[in-house]
Amino acid sequence: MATFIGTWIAAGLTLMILSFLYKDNPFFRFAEHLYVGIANAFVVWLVWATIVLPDFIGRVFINIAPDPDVTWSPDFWFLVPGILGLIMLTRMIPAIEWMSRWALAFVVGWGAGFMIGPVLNSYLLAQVYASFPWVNMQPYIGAPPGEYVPALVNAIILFICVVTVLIYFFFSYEHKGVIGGGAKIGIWVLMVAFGASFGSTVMARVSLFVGRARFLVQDAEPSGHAFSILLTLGILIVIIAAIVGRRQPPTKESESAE
Amino acid sequence: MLRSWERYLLYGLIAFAVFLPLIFPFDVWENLPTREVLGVYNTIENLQPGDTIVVAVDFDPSSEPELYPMLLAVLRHAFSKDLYVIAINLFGPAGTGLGVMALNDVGGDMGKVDGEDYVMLGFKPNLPAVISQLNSDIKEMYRSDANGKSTADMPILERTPKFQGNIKYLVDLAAGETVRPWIAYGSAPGGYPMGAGCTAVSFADYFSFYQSGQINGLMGGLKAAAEYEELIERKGAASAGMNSQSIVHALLVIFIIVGNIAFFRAVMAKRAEARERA
Amino acid sequence: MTFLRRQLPVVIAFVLGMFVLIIFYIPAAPMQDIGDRLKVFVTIIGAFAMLLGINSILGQHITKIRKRRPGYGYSWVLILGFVTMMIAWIPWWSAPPADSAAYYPWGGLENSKGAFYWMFFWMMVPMQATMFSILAFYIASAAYRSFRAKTLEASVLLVAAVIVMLGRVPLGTSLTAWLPETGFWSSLRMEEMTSWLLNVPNAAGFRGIVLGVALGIIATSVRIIFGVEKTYMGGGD
Repeated sequence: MATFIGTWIAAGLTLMILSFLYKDNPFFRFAEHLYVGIANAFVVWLVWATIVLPDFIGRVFINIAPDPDVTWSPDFWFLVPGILGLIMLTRMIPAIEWMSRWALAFVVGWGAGFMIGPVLNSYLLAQVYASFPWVNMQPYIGAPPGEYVPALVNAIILFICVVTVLIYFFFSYEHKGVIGGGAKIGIWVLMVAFGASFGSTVMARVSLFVGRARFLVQDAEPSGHAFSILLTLGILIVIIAAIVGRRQPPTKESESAE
Repeated sequence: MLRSWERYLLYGLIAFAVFLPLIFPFDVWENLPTREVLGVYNTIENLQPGDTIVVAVDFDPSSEPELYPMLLAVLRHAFSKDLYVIAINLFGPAGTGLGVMALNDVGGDMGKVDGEDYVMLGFKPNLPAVISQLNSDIKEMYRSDANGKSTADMPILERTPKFQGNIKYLVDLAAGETVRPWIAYGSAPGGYPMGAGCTAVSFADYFSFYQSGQINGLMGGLKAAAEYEELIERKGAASAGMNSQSIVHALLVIFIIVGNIAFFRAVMAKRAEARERA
Repeated sequence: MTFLRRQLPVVIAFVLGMFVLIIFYIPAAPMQDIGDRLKVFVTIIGAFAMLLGINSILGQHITKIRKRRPGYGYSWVLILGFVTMMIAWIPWWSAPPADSAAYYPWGGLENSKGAFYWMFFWMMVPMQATMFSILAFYIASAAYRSFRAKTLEASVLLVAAVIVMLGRVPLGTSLTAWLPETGFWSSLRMEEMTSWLLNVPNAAGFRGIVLGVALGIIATSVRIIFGVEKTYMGGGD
């Protein structure tokens, strides 16, 4: 029974949000606000139940998981993050808002110091190292020429591409001569990268809609509903939205919104 | 600027192209496996029963259609190889719910027990801190799992008190920028291999890390999920969507070509006009 | 007072930043323990920070209702959704599972009979997923309207995008399935072209970006530690 009602509610909410494609309408706004409310309550629950309660309260104040084998004693060091966390909340009170800077400085300062080493190792050094052709050719030593030659060509192309992109990024003065030619190739390499990224992004967005369409067509079916009923519901929503939309004077925004 | 009817025609065509293949499924085009997906599959395939892997559920419902089928496929594969799975979510709170759902469904299906064969650790903010702490001590960071159970004497965590040295593989299913932190703070200092699955949006970005070998496999979007489903011979949601995906892509390529023809004709007309005036 | 407001945060950031940076390069056991503890600390502070955003959203809508601004009815919907979800956290009608947590009797997310789980699965997940699926239509119309081969660079971008769009779907790869699978001509197959494009020029392009980002992170971190960068403290004095 819960699944039966759930399927219908989920399908209805899905169609309500999809009705935005026609134009901004009360159905969409209802679903949108409902979503924000539910999602925020979810976050509150999760933060309380899996972080604040076990990590802070459970360490300092009360033993929330009584275990006869383990003796529990409060660890007052954890008052530090608790108090700093509460200080973070002073952002809500304008008069003492500045106190939240202490907590922010704690987190940001920690992050700044912590990130330098790993970023240097994994983003900078490892990435530069993997650009050199002789590094990339290591696995191909002794391979037949049919494999070796294409790999070598690719390794050299990769190296040239990386160098030209860096030339484009780091020489900010007027691009002339060799530097200018390199920067030009660099732009093309970046265009290929952005093109690939765009083509891939199109795929992602379409996949999301395919996923929702699949829910409407296939997941809703086993619980005894035909797709046609959902479609009828959808058309009804669109018609009502159209009528409601007609009654209000058309705004410029909704016409040009896209 | 598009005229209004043009916009609705475009939307209508796309909606049809998505819905029709789902209502009338067919199987014509072969989904060719790629090297990047095989990287993840082969690594898991070559692990021994009893090894532990980490599956990072770093996505939330906004990319559920792409990454949830991938998560199900990876879990199914891991459980069928009798691997222990530690799942974790560091992207957004809602991902925890999806992870719990997937583990309960697949684990229940395959007779695995929560807390013994798998655990969902749940969400914590501040990615670098959590990842690097897990390398040295899991229980210090996670005193309870996502369901609120105490981790104090959980069998799977008794076996794997920390990631470093105990983890054989890490798969990060990422909707956002979590692959790079996992590399920098987790896999590189911890010394365990890593593979990534991501939405198609960030798919192209991670090739620089795939090329450098910092991740040994890369699964991008619905296509990769469908490939994985075929590799474990259990077609599911992703495979079902590939026909729609194919047709919409073809449609979009046609749109782009038509748009460009119209554009060039306009340019030619303008040039001809200018020539006449001169 | 100025010290508390302006100098103390910089001092805190400097001390912590330097300490963590030093123990990364000089890993001595007792220092590591403090370092590990600090990681848990910042996680807990981060959790409190997450509550801030929620406060501002709720506050905004409560003000809207109080002042009866247009559309305040929707704000009621938002508050209602929030309150319902908070109440759903307690499973009024379902008994907690036998092996459920000691922490809270309702058994968390796993209790799939509970109203909380039901609302998550049947309301939150579909709505959030659908929100983003609308983008499919917008990106399609964007591709139609603005993807023009106006310049050489734009043409390169366009060709790369089309190759990837076709090479990543079965229909696209089946277009060139008649080409041989090995040998020279195989490199003209759609999936081979896509693979090459992604693995060589695309990887190089994004590597350039990663290197730039890495330098940016390091530079910003150093500036924060030494108190040059203070934007994180917000405006005012």
